[in-house]
Parts: sequence; C-alpha cells; structure tokens
Amino acid sequence: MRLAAEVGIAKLSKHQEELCGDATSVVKTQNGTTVVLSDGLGSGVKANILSTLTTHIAAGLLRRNVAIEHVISAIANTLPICQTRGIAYSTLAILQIGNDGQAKLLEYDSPEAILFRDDQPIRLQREEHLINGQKVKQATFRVQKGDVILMVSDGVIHAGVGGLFDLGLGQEGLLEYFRQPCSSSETCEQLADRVINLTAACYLSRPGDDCTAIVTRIRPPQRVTVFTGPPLNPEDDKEAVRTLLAETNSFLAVCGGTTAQIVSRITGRELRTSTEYVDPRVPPVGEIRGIDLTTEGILTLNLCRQLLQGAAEGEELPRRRDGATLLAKQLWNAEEVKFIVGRAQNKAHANLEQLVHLAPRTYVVDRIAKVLAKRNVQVEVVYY
Amino acid sequence: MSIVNIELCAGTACHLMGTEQLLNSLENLQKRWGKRLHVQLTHCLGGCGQGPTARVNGQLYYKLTAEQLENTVNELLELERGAL
Repeated sequence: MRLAAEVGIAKLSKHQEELCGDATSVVKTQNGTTVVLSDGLGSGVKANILSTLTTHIAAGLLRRNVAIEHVISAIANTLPICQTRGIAYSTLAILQIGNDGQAKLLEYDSPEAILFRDDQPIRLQREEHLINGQKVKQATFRVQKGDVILMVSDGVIHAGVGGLFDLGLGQEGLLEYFRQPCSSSETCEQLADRVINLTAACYLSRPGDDCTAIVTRIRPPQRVTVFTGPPLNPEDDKEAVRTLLAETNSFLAVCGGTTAQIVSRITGRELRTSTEYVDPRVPPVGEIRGIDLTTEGILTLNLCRQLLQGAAEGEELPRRRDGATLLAKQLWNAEEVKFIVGRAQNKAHANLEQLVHLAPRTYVVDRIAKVLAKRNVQVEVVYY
Repeated sequence: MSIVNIELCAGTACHLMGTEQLLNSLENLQKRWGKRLHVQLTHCLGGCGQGPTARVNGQLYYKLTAEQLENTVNELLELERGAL
C-alpha cells in the first residue's frame, strides 16, 4: 500500500526573543516526504540565520533528490565549529519517509526522535558514524499506517531545567506526557501544539531556549475534491454535484455561495451559515451534511492562494479556523487534489473583482494548482 | 411574544459591502431585546449589486445601514409592545 506522511509543526521562541533559532522544512518529492529540523547555536538572530541556512541548504539538496547521507555529510563538512564550545553552530535532523514505507533518520547533534506504534514508543536502532569529527546517528526502519514520529529540539528536552525540574523535562518526562498519539483524533499540528504547550508550562511561560516539536503521522495518501463555481450551463449542475459526491474516499470542499446552494438544492440537504467571523477578510464558513468544508468562493480562494504561496516560500500556515485557512491546510497536506470548476460568472461580482483586485475564479484555481503541482501534488481540474 | 428574525446575507458582494459591520451593530439590539431577536447569517439573497442585504421577517432590505436596521427592528418590536 502506498503511504504518505502528514506533518505538524509547533514552535516557541526563547523568552524576549522575536525570532526562533530553530528552523524546519518539509520537502515532498515523488518518492516521499522529508522533514528537516535544525537548531542554531544560541538564540535570536544569529541562531535563526544559522538554522535557516542549514535547513535551506538541506531542503535544496533534498529537492534535487540528493541522498540524505550526502546531504548531512555536505552540511557537517561545511558547518563552522564554535571555538569556545567545540560544537557545530547548528544541529540537524532529517527524517525521510518513502511512499513504500521505508524510512531513514539521520541526527547530527539533535535529541533522538521517537517512533510510536500503537501508542507505544519504539526504540530505534541507531548506528553512529563520524563525519568531520562529529557523531552522526543513523537509523533505517520501516513505517506503517498509524505510526507517529516525534522530533523535538533540545529546548523541549531541557524545559524547566533549574526551575520546575532539576534536570529539565527530559525524554522520559516527554514520553510520560505525550501519550496515545497514534489513537488520538488530533491532527499532527494539534499534537505538536500539545508538546509546545507542555514545554511553555515547564518554563513557566519564560522559555530559556528556542523550542520546536514536529509530529509526523503515517497515513494513506489524502485526496481533496473542491467544487467551486456554478456550471456555465445550469443543466450541468446535477452532473457537477454527482462528480463531487462520487469522490467517496476524499475530503469534500464546496467553495462559493451559489455553488453551495446548487449542492443543497440537488442533494436536498440544508445549507447553514456560521455567524462567527474568524477573519474579517473572508465570510464565515457554512455547513452542508456530507460536505467536509463549505466556504464562500472568490474571496476565500484568493486568500487561500496567498496562504499557499506563502507556505511554498517557507511561511507557516496560520492557526486560524477561517474558510481560507482550513481549505489551504487541506490542500497543503493532500497528495491528490481534484478541482471541479464551474465557469459561470456572477455579473455583480465582476465589478467588485476589479475594485478590490481579486483574481477571477479560473485564474486563481490555476495558480493554486500550480503551487500544489510544484509540491508534487497530483492535480486534476475539470471544467463545467 | 413574537420574534424578529434577521437574516444577513454573507455572500461575497454583501460581505464586501459590510455584512460584518451590520452583524456587530446588532450586539446592542440583542442586549435590549434578548431572545426576541434572532440573528443568523445566510447564503446569497440575490441582492449582489445592492448590498449589504438582509431579510427581516421575510422582507428583503437592500443597501442597508446599521442605523436603518436598528430602526427597522425597534419599530417592529415596539409596535408590537404598543399594541399589547
């Protein structure tokens, strides 16, 4: 069975520092997913630059399908060593999950990642190599559906040192708290938030170091189907809805007021709208039984495109629960995406689109498809 | 005791023309009238060129301002109170 990985990241900067000295990157290729975590020495701007540089070099090489052993040795051989402390200016951990379930983990000065299977932590057998006089630990193993892998920076392991705890939270303390991650219905992002909230509490909300938690869950490839826009010919409404509902093993999203009304009319299911304005830039989400996400159309898609573009450039997707962010997260984490695009245009919207510089529906869907395709997501667009 | 039912259009055009501001302006009215005022957002009401649009007890109002909406609600509820 083909496998995929969902990744959730949460970060916390050292007390009174604006920038986090840890950097992360997730690279999706046709063969699988690779997660990179780097912790720059010290904190603030210097640490941020060091870790970002390390992560970018690693991600750039991984995108060109360079083997992770070569990536880590290239970085280990070039990273400067701190003269005072005799350690590298940045740590590095790389986790690679293949579509076939073959996984590889390399750690250079990083805390050990933990694999959970059926909620139990499993000790990974690691081999040690010396690269440029520095120890690099390597583990090769197989993953299966439901496995969860937790990677943290040392700020998490040392949380509360000299304060709440004599020696910090430690890996055992973390394991004590991070229970049942495999059977939890929480997303990877929520699980990572859970670790970071614990870390913040151990530091009594004054973190003594930058902290990062990355949670990776192994799951089957995820498919997302988005129906947006009324068909050009109203006679095709039924066919478009049928195409949407035929996607039984997929997350279903409907984007657009008229589109949602079409789905509601043809399925006979009530369309309800929330009164909660999460982000004033987009109208609240709606609800139709059997549809996982119902949103407004053109404003939501335009903001979703902006968010995805930002994510492609390394920005984090927000934690908000507005329609655009919820849609962007689903698309960003998907392996396969299908857009069912109706080309009829609301004439009243045409003027508004020009006034507020909104890209038309077909254009914005095309841009989203391009961003996703660059991430090796299989994208299909059907027009009506 | 009758209820005034307000449906504010949350479609694209009405949203851009100020549905959220209308919704926020109803907070004081809700404090005054409590459960007699029922507010919900709804899908497009078809007044895209004349937003923001609202349906109050089944009647459509276009290019609505917060003041107009407040007056309409107060009139409907005070009228009934006066008739009692």
